[in-house]
Parts: sequence; C-alpha cells; structure tokens
Amino acid sequence: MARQFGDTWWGLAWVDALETRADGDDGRLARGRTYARKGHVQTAEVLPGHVKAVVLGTDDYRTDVSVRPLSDAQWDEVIDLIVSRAAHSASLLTGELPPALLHECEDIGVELLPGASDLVPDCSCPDWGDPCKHAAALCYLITDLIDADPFTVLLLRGRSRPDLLDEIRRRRSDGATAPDEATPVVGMPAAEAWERELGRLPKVPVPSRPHRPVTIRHRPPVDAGVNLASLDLLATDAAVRAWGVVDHGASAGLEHPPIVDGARRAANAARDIDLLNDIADALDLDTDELATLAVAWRVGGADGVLVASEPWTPDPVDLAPAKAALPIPARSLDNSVTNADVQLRLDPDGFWWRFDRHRSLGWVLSSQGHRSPVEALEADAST
Amino acid sequence: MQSGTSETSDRQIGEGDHATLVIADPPRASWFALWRDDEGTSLLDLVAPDDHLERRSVALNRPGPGGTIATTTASVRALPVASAINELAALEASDDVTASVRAWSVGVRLALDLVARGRLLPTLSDEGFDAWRLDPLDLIDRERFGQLADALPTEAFCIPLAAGQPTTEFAEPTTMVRGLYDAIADSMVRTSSASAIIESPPFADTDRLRLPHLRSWVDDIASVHCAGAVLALRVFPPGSFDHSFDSSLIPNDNQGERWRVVFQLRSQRDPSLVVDAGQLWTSPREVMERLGREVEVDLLSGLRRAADICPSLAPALDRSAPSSIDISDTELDELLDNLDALSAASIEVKWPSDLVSPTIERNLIVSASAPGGALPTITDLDSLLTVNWEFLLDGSPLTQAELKILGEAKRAIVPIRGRWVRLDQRTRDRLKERAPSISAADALAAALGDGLNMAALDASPTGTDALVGALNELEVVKVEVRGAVGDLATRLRALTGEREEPEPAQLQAELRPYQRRGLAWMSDLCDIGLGGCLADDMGLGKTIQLLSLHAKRGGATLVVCPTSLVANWEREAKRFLPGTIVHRFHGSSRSLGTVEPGDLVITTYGVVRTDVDTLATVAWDLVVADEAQHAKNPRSRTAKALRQLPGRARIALTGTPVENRLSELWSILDWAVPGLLGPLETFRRNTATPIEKDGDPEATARLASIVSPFLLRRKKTDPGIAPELPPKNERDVVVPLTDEQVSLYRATTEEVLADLKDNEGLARHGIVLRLLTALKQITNHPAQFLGETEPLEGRSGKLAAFDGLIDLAMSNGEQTLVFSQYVAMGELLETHLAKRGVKAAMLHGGLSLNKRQELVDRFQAGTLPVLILSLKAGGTGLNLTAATHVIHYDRWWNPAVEDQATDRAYRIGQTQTVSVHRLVTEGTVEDRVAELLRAKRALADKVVGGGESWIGNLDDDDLAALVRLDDNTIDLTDGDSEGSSDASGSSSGNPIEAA
Repeated sequence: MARQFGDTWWGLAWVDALETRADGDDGRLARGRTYARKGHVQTAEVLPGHVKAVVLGTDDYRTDVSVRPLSDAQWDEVIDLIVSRAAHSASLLTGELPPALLHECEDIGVELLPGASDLVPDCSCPDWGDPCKHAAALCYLITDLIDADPFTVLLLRGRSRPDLLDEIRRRRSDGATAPDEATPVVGMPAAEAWERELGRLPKVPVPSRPHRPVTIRHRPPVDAGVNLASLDLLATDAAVRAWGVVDHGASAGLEHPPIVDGARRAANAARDIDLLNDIADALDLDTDELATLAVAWRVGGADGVLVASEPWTPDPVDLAPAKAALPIPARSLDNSVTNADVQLRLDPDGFWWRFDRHRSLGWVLSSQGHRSPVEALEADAST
Repeated sequence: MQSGTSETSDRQIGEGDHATLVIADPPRASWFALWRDDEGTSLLDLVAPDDHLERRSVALNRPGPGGTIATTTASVRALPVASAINELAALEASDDVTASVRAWSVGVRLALDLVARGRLLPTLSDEGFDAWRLDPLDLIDRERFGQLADALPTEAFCIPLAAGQPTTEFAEPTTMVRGLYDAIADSMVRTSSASAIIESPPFADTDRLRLPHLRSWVDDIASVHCAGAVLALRVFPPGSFDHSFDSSLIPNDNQGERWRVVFQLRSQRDPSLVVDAGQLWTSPREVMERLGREVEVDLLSGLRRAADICPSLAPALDRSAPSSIDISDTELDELLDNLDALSAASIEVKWPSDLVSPTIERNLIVSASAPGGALPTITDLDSLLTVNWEFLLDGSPLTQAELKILGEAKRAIVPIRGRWVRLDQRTRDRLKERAPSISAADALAAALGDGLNMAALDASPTGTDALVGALNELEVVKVEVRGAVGDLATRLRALTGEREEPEPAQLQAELRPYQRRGLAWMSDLCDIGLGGCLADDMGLGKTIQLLSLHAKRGGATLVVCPTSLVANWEREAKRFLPGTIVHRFHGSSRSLGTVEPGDLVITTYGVVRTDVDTLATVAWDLVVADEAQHAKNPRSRTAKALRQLPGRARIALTGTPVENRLSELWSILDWAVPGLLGPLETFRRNTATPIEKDGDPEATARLASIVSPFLLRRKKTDPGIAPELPPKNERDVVVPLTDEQVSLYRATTEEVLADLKDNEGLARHGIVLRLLTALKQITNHPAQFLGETEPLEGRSGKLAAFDGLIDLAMSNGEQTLVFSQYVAMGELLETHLAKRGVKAAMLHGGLSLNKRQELVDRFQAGTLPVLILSLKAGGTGLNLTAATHVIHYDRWWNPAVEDQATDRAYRIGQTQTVSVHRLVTEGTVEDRVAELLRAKRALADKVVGGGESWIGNLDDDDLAALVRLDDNTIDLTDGDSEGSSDASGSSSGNPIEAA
C-alpha cells in the first residue's frame, strides 16, 4: 500500500487542508504525491512564509513554495485567543500546539492552515503546470516537517515560535518588562571561607526503590542523533545502578568493560527482545552468547562474565587440581578442564568456576568462584 | 566465595587525604584533588594507598604555619569523580577520614539518591558539550543541598578563582555542590557499552561532543523542569470552620460549600518567599523581580502538570489569569490521592494543619500468648500471635461508634470530633486492614525496642511510604504487648547481669566474680528457654564460664567450634571437669555413640555441615557455637545446618566486637533467638544502614534495647574487670599439624633415631640436638625447615592459628608482640603478614640502634600493630608496654630464660593485662616437653642453668618416647568456613581463642 502522509494530528490536518481546498486540481496533486513518495525531495528548508527544496527529477530542480502569511491584524486576533486561555499559553510554552486552537481560530474567521490556494509555487523546472509536480511534491513533504514540529505551520504563516512566545508574554504581562538579569555571581573571600562556622551535614535518605526518569516532552531536532526512548533507557539504567549503590553497596558499574556492562544490561533486560538484540549487536555477539553472559553476570558478577568470555592460557601445572577433582578422563583447553557435561575454568586470580553444558546455549556458568576446584564442584547454586 | 579482586577493596583515598573538588566542563571530567597537610615531610608513617593516580599541579589556598593563609602550588593526586563514586558511597560513620572527604561522601550519596529517583535531564554545558544534570529537585532536596553547602569544609573547595583579583576568592559552596551533583549525573549514565547499544554517541559516550544545535531544545527542557519558582496548591476547607494555617491566621473568604484551592508560587532560591498567583496577574513586574523572569512559565507549566495529574484542576486553565479553583470533596480526595505524583512533578500541596488530620494513627495490640499460654522458647519463636489494631485520632483511641462512621463514610473527608479527617484510600484500607502476622519474635523485639517498624514486616522492598513532607520516613508503630510475651520481655529486661552464681562443685577451679556473673546470666537465659551471645574479650575465660554452665545444667551439651580449637576444648574440659565424659565427634572415622545427659561432645562446623542429620537425632540440652562468626553467612549450608540442631538452649561465643559489625551480630542473634531481628534484607535497610552510614541515634537506641538482654560483653579494660585480672594470662594453644608436616616429622624421626644407635657420646649429643632443631623447624613451618620462602599458606597448623590470633587482636584494635627463637621464622612471618596487608616489622640484631628505636617508637605510638622479635637477639631495656598480646611462635625449652626475656626485657604487663599465647603442636615433642615442664617442676628447676642441653642426656628409649608423633592429629583442611574469606581476608582462618 502506498505511503500515507501525516502521522500527527497537525500533519493530517495539513494534508486534509491541502487536498480539500485544491480547487479541483486533483491530478497535479496526485502526481506530486507520487513524486514525494518516491523520495525525490531533498533538503527542505523552512523559513517564515516559504519552504525551499531541491527536488530530483530529470534534473535537479530548485523548488520554492510560498505561503501567504496571516496579516498583522489576524495575528493579533490569534494571539488574543491564545492569551485568553492559560491552557493555550501553557501548551505553547511546553512545546505543544493544541489542536483546539485550530478550531477556535476558525471560529473567529482565521484559517491557520493554508489551503492549496494559499500556496504559491515557484520551480526551476521547465514544466509550466501550476503547481508543477515538484512543487506539489514539496507540499506533501511539508507534512513530514509538520509532524516533526507542528510550529512549522505557524512559521509558514509568518511567525516563528520564539517570536510568538515573546509576543504572548508581552501581551500577558501588559507591557511589563522583565527585570535585569540577576547580579553576577561573586565568589566567597578566602578569609571568610576559612573562618566561617560549619553547619551539620544533612541526613541521607535511602529511596525504597528506583524511580523512572522524568518524562521529557520536547522532541529533539531531527537529525540530531538524539532519541528520547534511548535517553530514557540510559537514565533508567543509571537510576537502578545508583539505587544499588546506596541501598546495598553495589558498584556504580562505571568501571566495567563493555562486555561486562552489556551482560549486566542483558541480565536486567527482562523480555525486551529489541534491547537484547541491540546489546548483542553492540557487543558483536549472537543472542545465545549474550544469554550465557547474562547468566554469568547473575551468578558471578563481573568476574563471572570475564571468565565466561575470555579464555587465556595458564601454566598447565595450575590446571592439575581441576584434573584431579574431575572424574577421568578430563580434557584441558586454554583455562578450562572438561569432563562430559561439567567444566571447570580457572581465572587469572586463581579462582575456579564451574560451568555446566546447556542443551542449546553451550557452557553456562553455574557457581561462583572458589579457591579450590572441589569446592567449586560442590558449591550450592543457592549460595 | 567471590573471586579475587573485590570492586571496592582498592582504597584510593588515604586516611589523611583532603579532597578538593575541581569542576570541569563537561561535568563528568570533574575530579578530586587529593592532598595531605604534611605533604613533603617524612613518608615513613604514612599509609601509601595503591598509587595509580595521576599527579597534577594545582593552586591551593590553605592556612600555613603561623596561621597565615597562602596560596601555593601543590602536587596533588587526581581522582576523577567517576572513579570515586564507589569508595565515597561506601564510607561508614566509623571510618577515619578528613572532614572534606566525609562531606563529599554525603554529597555523592545525595546525588545518587536523586539519580535513583530518576532526576536526570539532558543538557549542554557552558562550552556546548552534551552533559546530564541532576534536576528537578524537590523542596526537601533543596534543603539538603543547602545544608550540605553550609556544612562543606573549606578544604573541599579551596581553589582560588581567577588570579589577579585584589582578594583571593573561592567559588561559592553552592556552586561546588551543584558541580558535584552534575558530575555524578553526567558520569552515572555513561557506562562502557551505553553508546554502542543505542548506536548514538550524544549523552551516552564518554567522548566530548559539541552540539550547539541542541541549545534551544535543552533550554526548553530546563524551562519546564528546572523552575525558578514552584507551584504550591493551598487548600481551604468550606468556610464554615474557624481555623488557622500553621501558626498565622490567614483569612478564609471561602464561604461556600466547596474546597478552594489557591495557587501560589514559592521561590526556589528563597523558600520562605511565597506569593499568590493572583498577584502575578495584578502586579507582574513586582512578582517577576522577586521570583525571576520565567515565573509565568513556571506557573503555567506547573498548572499544566497539576492538571494532567488531577483533571479536576483543569478548568483553571480555561481562564486567562487563573488564581484559584473551587472543588468538591471527591475532587479534593483525588488531589490528596495524588500527592506523590504531584510531589514528583514538583508541586506542593498545603492544607490547614489544625483542621485536617492527615492520618489516623494506629497501634498494635498484641494480646495473646503462644498456644497454651507458656512462654515462647527458641523452638516456637516463630509462632503467630493474636494481634489487633487500635486506631487513634490526636492520641486518643477512636470509639466503636466513630470507627463505624469512618468505615461507612462515602465522602472523602469526614467530620469527626470537630475536625475534618481525610479518608484517603490508604486510610480506608487501613481501617479495614487485618492486623499483620506477628510472630512471637517480632512481638518480643517490639516490646524490647519500644515500637515496631512496619516496613520491617513487609517482605517486599516497597514498604509503606508516608505522606508528603515525610519522604523516606518509615512508619514506626507503637505496640502494646500483653500476655506471655509481655511477661517475657519484662523478665528479659530484668537480666542486668549483676547476679553472681557460684561455680558448680564439679568445677576444678575458682571463678572470678565477673565470671560468676557471666555464668548467672547465661544460666538465667537458658532457663527462660532462649539463647544468647557471650562476647567477652579474649582472655577473660569464656570457655571456663561455659563449662560451668554445662556442669550446672547437667544435660547433654554439643560444642561446635573451628577445627583448630577442638584439642583446646577437650583439654580444658578434661582439666576443669574431670568427671565429665568428653567426646570428640570429628575425623574420618568418627561415630557419635550414645549421648547421655552430662556428656560433652565437641565437633566442628565442617562436621555439622555434613552430619547434621546424625547430630539432630540427639536431644541436646545446650548447643554452643564457638567463634560464632564462622557461620555468619546465613545462606551457607553451615549456617542452615547449625539452625537445624535441636537444643533447649543456645549460646554463641565470640571474641570479636560484634556490636561494631552489624551483619555478624544479625547472624549470631538470628541463630540464638530466631526471628528476633527480622529478615536480613529489612534489617540491613532499616537498621544497619542508618546506623553504619549515618550514625542514626534512634535506630542505634532501638537496636541496643532489643539486643541487650541477649548479648553480654566485657572488655579487659572495663573498670570492674581490670582489677580482677592478673597482669599476664598465659596459655598453651594446641594446634594440629598438616599432612605435609606429619610426613616430614615422621620421616625425620625415623631416620635419625635409626642413626642414633650407631653413635655415642658427643657425637650422639650433637645428633640429638640437630634432631630437635629439625623437629622444631618442621612444627613451625615446612618452609623454614626446607629453606623455602613461599608458599606459606595452608602448610602449617601454627601459622593458621597465628593468623587467627592476629586477626582477633586487630579486630579489637590491640597490638601484638611475636617471639620466635629463629630469625628465619620471624622473617617468614613478616613476609606473610605483609602479604595479608597487616603492618608488621621485625626487630633483630642486624638493625642499627636508631632503626630499632624507631620501630619501638612506632609500636608504642600505635601505628605498628605487630612487632616480631627474635628471643636471642632481642636485647634488654626496650619499652613495649603497648602490647596486650604476646605470641610465642615456638618455645625456648627453658622457662626461666623465656620469662626473663619477655617480662623484664619488655616490661609487659605493667600497664594492662596481657594475654600470652604459646603455640604448641599437638602430639609432638613440643607437646610433651611442655607437659613435662608444666608437671615436673623439679626437672624444670634442674634445667635452669643449662639451656636445652639436658635433652641430649636422655637415653634412647626416653628420647624416642619424647619425639614420637601421636596418631591423633587432625586434618587442618577440614573446611570450617564456608568459602574462602572472612572479613579479615585470611583464607584458612581458624582463629583461636585463649581462655
């Protein structure tokens, strides 16, 4: 099915206005739609009152669509409307454009959304149609811009968001101007610092559980490489770790190498398949390998993950105790000694770890580190 | 059980280090400059922490000699904030650190608390780098922030601002605390795999990225979340009631039936400044001057958030200049139900305190005793009791009629006794709530500790949070304990430990008065049917007190102890209670046999772990856990097995200062009085952490009252005890041999004894003396005999016992002298102690006089815990009175010489009681000579003048008898402790206790 335009309320409203008020010129718009779908529109730039782009066709064409701006008188009315309801001001201040505003403006005879007749195309292509398919395509692509930032609508109609907010502020406070910036910060004179009497240190609370991070509503600029869901993921993980430090003295986790950090995150990822895949990709592992490392984290912490992931070659003499502890025949390879489905591995600090063979995941860590291989073999999984 | 390097074991901050924060851009690059007062002076006495930190030069302004403050360039050690988090967060109230380090530790924990509560926002630093900041802060967070800034020692921020100023100035403490907060926020998010996982470096990678195009985005976020003023909702009840807000009368022009919510703005910078929103609309410039230019944004965005949480507030936003809104009871209820969410959105709610009672309090009445009415004992401390709630309003109980009104009320706010009582969902639930399950142990703890912490009962981590304004305070409920448990508590409180009980007739010794008191205390506790912990200092005679208890009770007693103490227990029991049957249940060919009342059975922790089923078939009267810290991990099999052993009474013995190690205390008391301190998780969170981290006085007091009937600890330095003790407390510590030692010993004796037959006279004399030297060295340590320097661990019974004694002494903060007649052995011990991280030095003939004096000075000053001396080369006239422990690693078989060397030479025992421990290997020549010297005084007199050569004069048969090795040696590697390390880090720690 062909791509539909408009993901947000405003985006859809734009498309609707475009198509409804096209004065019957469906054919041109349709061609523009096709062009837009094929991705021919490059680098659109939005300015007060018009949008510029380069559209790829037989050649590269410079296309411009001008939007008839609202008059100053009309803007006055719009701003009055906004000021009359604190809700609107609040929305605008928090980065949102309330849909209700559109209807209220219609009620006083101001069309915020331009229709096809409000748009004046200008294109360097040889096509004399009005609008040419490139300009029509651009009109459709403006939908994407509006989806990303609904204030684009107002910008096209002549007012940028910062200007609008300034005007709203001025109107609300009846011309009161803000006082000067706070006086510059001075330091504390050294003599005073050394002589001052110190207060008591505050008491530190312990949160009963970690909390979700604050919700950020503002969307970051497109192409900034910033994704709100990812930031939320990172902040949540930081909250859980911070809680662990103050609640039971766990490590903040900043010193772990990537493989340990990734294993830790995987262990805490529950059933978030997408996250597990992302972690596996980042560490260049497949998900089964990641699963074994997640188990290693739960059983043996950072040291467990390292012994599960990094083979090394010890002095063969050091492997002898494990060979003695396992039933014959026991084979050794790198730092591991294996018999049938049980394996003991030696870590560089001299501790022995027990691994058991899992039917699909391979070797999985099943004990914590012990000084003697016998203890590692006998260790209770519950300790 | 954990492997090798623990993550928090490498201390980077030394005891004398000051920490000055250097704020950098971006915040995660901030670091602590570590420096000392005596920088550049002698390094001898300083603890040098593991030094892998970079050295940098920094200008510091500090007081110098003579009181003048001057700026000098100092060479400091640079510790990045990110690397300091673990160490600073782990700091305990008892750690010895400078004031600046302690203050930063509090700052780190406050910052981590905010991170844990999700207060992280992306931002750009002044230079345009991506960074995280710690925001938004609630009112209480700002209060703590301010307190920390006021308490910040100057050393923490004494870096002068830009040079060239007329006067030297530092950055304001508030700026520094904010710098720390942001450094923590910016560091905590960026783990090593963060950037790779989200496939996007901004805000995740540790590299610096300049992202100026994000400036307006982060400003938008800041304007919404980091307000200059916070919204407060002030609630007025329907106008029919007279009331006051706080202590001032605020006129209420609300004459209607509804509740009025007035919008106010409180300044973040000056929390005492509060302004009505209405004023903002009438005189905006004035308000902006006081609350900042963004105040309108703050109000509107605050209202938006409030309306999102409580839709009943939304109509306010329909107006242009909202200043208040009237709402109904139900809508107010919705508001009050969402106080947490509003608080998380930085919105306060205030209502008149004398009008609305935020909560109905409740007490627990524990009324019935255990089934049958008998006092609960160890075995039924977990039985559940009948419990009822009693509800109170303003301190007086609610009557049945009032409870009925509350229970049936449909309104959210109910008038009772002239006040409005809020019936939020939680109060409604509480009114209907069944009383929680309380075990007898919980009730006992509540009765002793004067109250019950509700969160301690709740197994889930969330617990019950109180209302706004009481973040993180847990509900402590008053408990009235009636019935048998109440009686029990009264009886326990009466155990003051002042009664003396005379020693039983069978005891072949006289008890000192304090020991009689110990016996009385234990006896009373056991009669009541509960357990306890005797934690007297080493050397005060725990063993003999316990043997007296056994004799008095006359039942079957099981003593569980570490392997290396088995021989000691057996000997002491046989010596002091000769009529008692004493039996060792240990060794590969062990068998229990029939145990009769009056028998004493000794076994080890290792055997308990494997043979608990066998041991459980006996109806023990008394079970004793010696060196009880061996079973301190409650999840280990050993601990579980110990709990399965039946016994009418349980006594734990330990010489470590358990009151300072709360996790050990929990473990020991949880065995002696099961359930008294609740589950470990909740104990740690509600008791141990507040005490150890914050020195919380309430938690400390409560714990002390709960624990004091069950814990008796006397110290050598106690005023009542010290005069009763002799200056020297000597005993032989009998230790086993390892397999290696056994085979070396046997091989050597066989070879030489065979050789002897062919020799006579001087030659024979010489061979005998060489034999004895060899055997002494073997029993000391195979490495000494074989001329090796490593490995040392696990090869000598004496060394294992030695480690245990050193650990015990150090845990009590006491100093030890170690004597050996062999310099080589002394050097091995010095190396061994150094590897274990114990400061020790050896004083021997090869040292210069100056060096010797320096060691003595250090020892006397208390900075050198262990001093090793060679008996032969010691010299006279040295003052080593700081020693309270003496270990004779091996013996000089001439008692007079030995005593002379130790007492007169070193003036030991002149200022404090000293415990002298002589290590003797069981079943060897050492053992027999010691016996000889003890029993046959005449022989001892004969050898006074002659050194050790008297042994050379024994004939073949006597000699063979002397050097023969008994078969009764014990396998040292029995595995007493579960896992490789205890707190002191010894890997085969079998500590020994002297009686």
